[in-house]
Amino acid sequence: MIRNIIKYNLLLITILMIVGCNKSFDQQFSRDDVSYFSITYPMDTTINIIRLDTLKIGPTFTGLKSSVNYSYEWTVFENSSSSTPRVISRDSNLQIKVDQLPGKYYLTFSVKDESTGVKDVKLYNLNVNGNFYEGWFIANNKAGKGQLSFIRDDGDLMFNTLETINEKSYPEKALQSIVSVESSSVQYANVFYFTNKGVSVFDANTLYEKVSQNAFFTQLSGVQGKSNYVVCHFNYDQLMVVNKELRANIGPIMSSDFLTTFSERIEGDYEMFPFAFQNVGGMSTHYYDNKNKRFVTIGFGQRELGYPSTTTTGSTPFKLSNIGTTFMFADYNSSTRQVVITSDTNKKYIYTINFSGDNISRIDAYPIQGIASLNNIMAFAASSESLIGFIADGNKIYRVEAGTGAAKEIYAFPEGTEIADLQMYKRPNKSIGAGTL
Amino acid sequence: MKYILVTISVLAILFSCQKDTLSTYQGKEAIALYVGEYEADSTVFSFVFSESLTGRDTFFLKLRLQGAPKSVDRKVQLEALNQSTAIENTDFVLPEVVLKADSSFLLYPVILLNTERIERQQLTLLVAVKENEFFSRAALGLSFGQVNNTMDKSLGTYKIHINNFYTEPHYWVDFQYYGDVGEYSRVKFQFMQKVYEIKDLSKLSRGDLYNMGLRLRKALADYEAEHGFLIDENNNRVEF
Repeated sequence: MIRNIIKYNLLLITILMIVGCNKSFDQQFSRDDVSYFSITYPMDTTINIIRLDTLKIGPTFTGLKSSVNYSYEWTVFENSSSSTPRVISRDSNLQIKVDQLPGKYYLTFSVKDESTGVKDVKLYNLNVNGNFYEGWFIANNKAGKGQLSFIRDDGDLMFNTLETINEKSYPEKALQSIVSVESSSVQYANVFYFTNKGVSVFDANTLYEKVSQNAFFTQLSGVQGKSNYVVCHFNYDQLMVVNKELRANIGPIMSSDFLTTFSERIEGDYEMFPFAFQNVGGMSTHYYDNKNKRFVTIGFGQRELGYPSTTTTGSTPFKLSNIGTTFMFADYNSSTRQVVITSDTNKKYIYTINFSGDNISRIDAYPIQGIASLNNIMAFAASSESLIGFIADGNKIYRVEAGTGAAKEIYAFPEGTEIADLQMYKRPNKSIGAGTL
Repeated sequence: MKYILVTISVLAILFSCQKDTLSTYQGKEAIALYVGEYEADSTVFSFVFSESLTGRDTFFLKLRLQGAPKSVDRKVQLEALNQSTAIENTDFVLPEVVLKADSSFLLYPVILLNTERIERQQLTLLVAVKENEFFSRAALGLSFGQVNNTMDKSLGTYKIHINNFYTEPHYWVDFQYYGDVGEYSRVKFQFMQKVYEIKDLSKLSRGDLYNMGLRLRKALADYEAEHGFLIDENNNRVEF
């Protein structure tokens, strides 16, 4: 019985195997080498262009055959996962007016062998900038009327940008302009324009007006002296010093509609020096109170001052609640270090303020030596590469070692010229700009 | 005997097989009142928070279709149920509106009328979908897989309490958290309405909330400099 079962099973398996066999189709095809070709220019690169300028690229290739028909395609898509590519040209040489809004995009270029379908594709970063992408904004006055001028990186000079672009008069006396660009939210690049009557805000890429004068404050009779504006605490807060008063508002991370009314004056007995001392990226900002000669702090989301009283290390120990000097000028040296020019009865000092975490941990202070007068300091800027600062005194510019206080004249404008401002070009930060009256 | 039993069992199993029939719904489409997953089935509408100057204001209720959209306009109306203490055409109007062709959603305008009697007492309006030739009342409950993965709730009725006097609004806790405004009082609330120049303070922005304490203390200091202390209805000095 068992023998029969095995026998019949073997027979069945054999039949199934025979039936399962199938004649294979004829594998008759020939092999040809696919010609190798590729794009050799441009290679991986970042292309910067100003919006509405013409983008011209003449690519080069290797391995293209004259007997083969190739197709070309240029596409652009936004730097986000949800973006879909848009074909902007099917010519080999690209020549197109860039109409994308300022921002970061990807550009792709592909060449395809139409006979085989083989394709070479290259991807590039495309940065579309506004007209005012890199350079110097200068708030200045002509015939008693304010204007915001722009010296662009490529040498282009635009004098009265605000009126030209907004077709509106800005008759107030210009005091200052502050450009706010946060690397994590470049779309929120703004220019704050301070006049004797108030503050207005313009888009840094287009200079279109975003906030009209005094929409920022419930009450403001006018602006005097230097002001300061920062976006801080991981974009959680905006802080502004106007008329020695500190005011706050929520930052771009809280709401895209953040250019709204600022708070009333943060309460307390102080006259705030217009500079935000901070460990950039920290969750607390320090200000210096020139009235009580001490540091105060404001934490993220807070609308009240803190009063630190720790003692710092450094050349001389300082109690943060009693520094005892008047701050005149300050600038950033690094993300955790700021340099300050201070004034005591008869002496000027250079202070280096160091942060550790959210706290000022070390202060070094040295009297400035090597400058004869020092009675007419008009401006100051700090290097962000080494621990030095530049002081404008009358018609001369001095280089000061923050680590020793030693100063040395490096440039003199003609006698009678008065330097009004000094700014360090921070990217790359090897040049310094001086504006004269 | 054994074979008979086996045969019967096999036959029984075979006979129990039956082709399933698919039932489909036949009938009128329905309209549902609905709210979001975290929204309540009632509200308080007070004319003291209303910006309207005409003595009437509109409160919108969300309606949606249960059934297939059709290519014709269809009339929709709500009706007040007997439990309502508000009187139709005196305290409210429930107009007949149209669910546009091919649409599934509608904001229904409940028109509320400001009268003297709601200055002293609160009236209640309980509404439900009024059945008509197009629609019946819809099934109730959560709906799954809506746009944005929300879980809206279909309701049978919605209750609106209507008044024209001050009561502590539900968002006062936010004001306490951000603005340190302390205990609610009518005078305090009215002062805030004047400071912000709006009646419905729930519309304040997040920035306004963060800056609230500073703004109110400054405004109150200005007020006190001119008029002296501000005293509320409980004879307490208003402070922020």
